[in-house]
Amino acid sequence: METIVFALLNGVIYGLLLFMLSSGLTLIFSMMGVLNFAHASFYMLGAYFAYTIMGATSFWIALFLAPVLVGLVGAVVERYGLRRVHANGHVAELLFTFGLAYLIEEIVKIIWGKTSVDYRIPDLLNFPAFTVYGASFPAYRMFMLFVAISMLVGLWLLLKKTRAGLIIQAALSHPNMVGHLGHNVPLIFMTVFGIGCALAGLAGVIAGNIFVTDPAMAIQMGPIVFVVVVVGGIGSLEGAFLASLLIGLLQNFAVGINASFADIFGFLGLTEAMEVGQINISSLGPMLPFLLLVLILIFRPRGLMGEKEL
Amino acid sequence: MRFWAATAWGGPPPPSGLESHKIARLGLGYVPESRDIFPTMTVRQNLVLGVKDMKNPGKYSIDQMLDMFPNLRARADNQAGVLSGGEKQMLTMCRTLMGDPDLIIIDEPTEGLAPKIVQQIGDMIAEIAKTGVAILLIEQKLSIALRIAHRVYVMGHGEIVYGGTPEDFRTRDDVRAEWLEV
Repeated sequence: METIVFALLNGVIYGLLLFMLSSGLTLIFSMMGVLNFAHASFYMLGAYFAYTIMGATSFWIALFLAPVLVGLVGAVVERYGLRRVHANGHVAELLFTFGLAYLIEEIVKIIWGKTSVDYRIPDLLNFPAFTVYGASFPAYRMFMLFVAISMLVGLWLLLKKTRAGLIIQAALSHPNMVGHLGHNVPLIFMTVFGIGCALAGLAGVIAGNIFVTDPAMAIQMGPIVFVVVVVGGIGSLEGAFLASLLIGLLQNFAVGINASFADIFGFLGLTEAMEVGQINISSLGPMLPFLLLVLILIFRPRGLMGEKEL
Repeated sequence: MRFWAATAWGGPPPPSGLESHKIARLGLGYVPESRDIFPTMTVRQNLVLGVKDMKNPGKYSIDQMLDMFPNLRARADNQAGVLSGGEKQMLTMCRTLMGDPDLIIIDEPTEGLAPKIVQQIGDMIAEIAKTGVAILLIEQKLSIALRIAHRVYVMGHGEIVYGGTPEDFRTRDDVRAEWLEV
C-alpha cells in the first residue's frame, strides 16, 4: 500500500518537474520551430545559481532570485544570439543551441568545479511530512509539489486569462499578423524565451538539492525532456503536461514494482535460472520513457495532443 | 493586374524598412488577403488583440464594435475558426479598426465570397470610410471599387497607369480595354 502511495506522490512530483522543463521547451519550439538543445542547461544553471545564492543568503531568496537570473540569461541569449542566428535558418539555430549546451557546461565546470557541489535541502524543510505504514515521506517533496502546482496555475492564468497571454499565444501561431496589429513580436519572443528558461531554472532550484548538482545534470535531464515534448506532441502545452505526468508515474511505479520477468512470464516457462528471467521490472524504469518515445513515433507521430507531425 | 481605390490619406508617408509593429503604431492598419484571424480564440479575444494599448484605447470599445456588427455579436464567444468567410473578413477589418488606425490597407477583401456577402463587405468598407478613416482598397473586382471609392487607380506591370474619379473612369473605355478586359 505504501508503495502505491509513495509511487503516486513521487510520480506526480517528478512529472510536474518534467513539465516545468518541458513547458518552456515546447513554448520555445512553437516560437522558433526548432528544439532548444540547451534547455536543460538552464535547468542546471538554476541549481548552481541557487547553490551560490543560498550560500550567501538563504534558500528562500534563492528560490525567487535564481529563476529570475536564469530567465535574464535566457533573454540575453535570445536577443543577442538566437535572433541573429535566426536569419540563417533552422539548422543554424539548432547548431547554435547545441553549441550553447556545451558552452554552459564548460563554464559551469570552470566556475563551480567538475565534481558535484553541496547544494542541500534547507533545514526548515528537512523533516518527515507524514508517515504511511511505517515509511515516512519527506516534507521537502511536499514543498516541491506545492511549488510545481503554483507554477502550473501561474502559467495557466498567464496564458489563458491575461491579454499578454493572448498576445503570446497569437504570436506563436501568427507572428506576422500580430506584428501588423502593432504588437512588438521580437520583444514577445524574447520574453517567452526568458520565461521558458526561468521555468527550467526553477526546476533546477527545487530539484538540484534532492538529485545531484553537478556539471552532468543537464545532459542527464536533456533527453528525458525531449521525450516528454515529443510524446506529448510538439508545441502542445496540454500534451507536455499529460506526457510529463505519464512518464513521471510510469517511471516511479516501475521502480516500485519488486518483480522479475520470471514472476510475470513464469507461465511461459521463464524461470529465475534463465538470464532473461532475472531481469527486474524496477531496473527497466529508466528505459521506459525511451520505449514510449519509440512507440509513439511509430504509431502516433504527432504525439498525444500535437497538431502537426514531426 | 490590380485595381486600386483610395480615399485621401493626410499623414506623412511611412518610412520603409521599419519593423511591422512600428509601422502599425504610426497609424497604418493592414487587413491581409489571407485574413489571418486567430482561429482558436473567440471573436471577442480576436478583437482584444487588435487593441494596441489597453490604457489608451481607440475610438471604439469592443462592445460598440459588436453593436455595429450584429453578426459578430451573435458569435462573440465562439471560436473565430468556425466563422464563415464573410464573417472572418468582417472580424479581420474590425480587429484592425480596434487599433484606431488613420489609414487601413485592405487587400482583396471579397476573395472567395458569395456575391451577396461581397455587397455587405462593400457597404461595411464605405461605413468605415465615413467615420474618417482613410482606406486603401486593393481589388480585382471593378464593381465594389467603383461603387464605394472616391478615387481609383489602375496598376499594371507594377506601375500606376491611370488615376481619377470613378465617374471619369467610367468614360475611359481605353483604359478598360487595355488593362482590365481579358
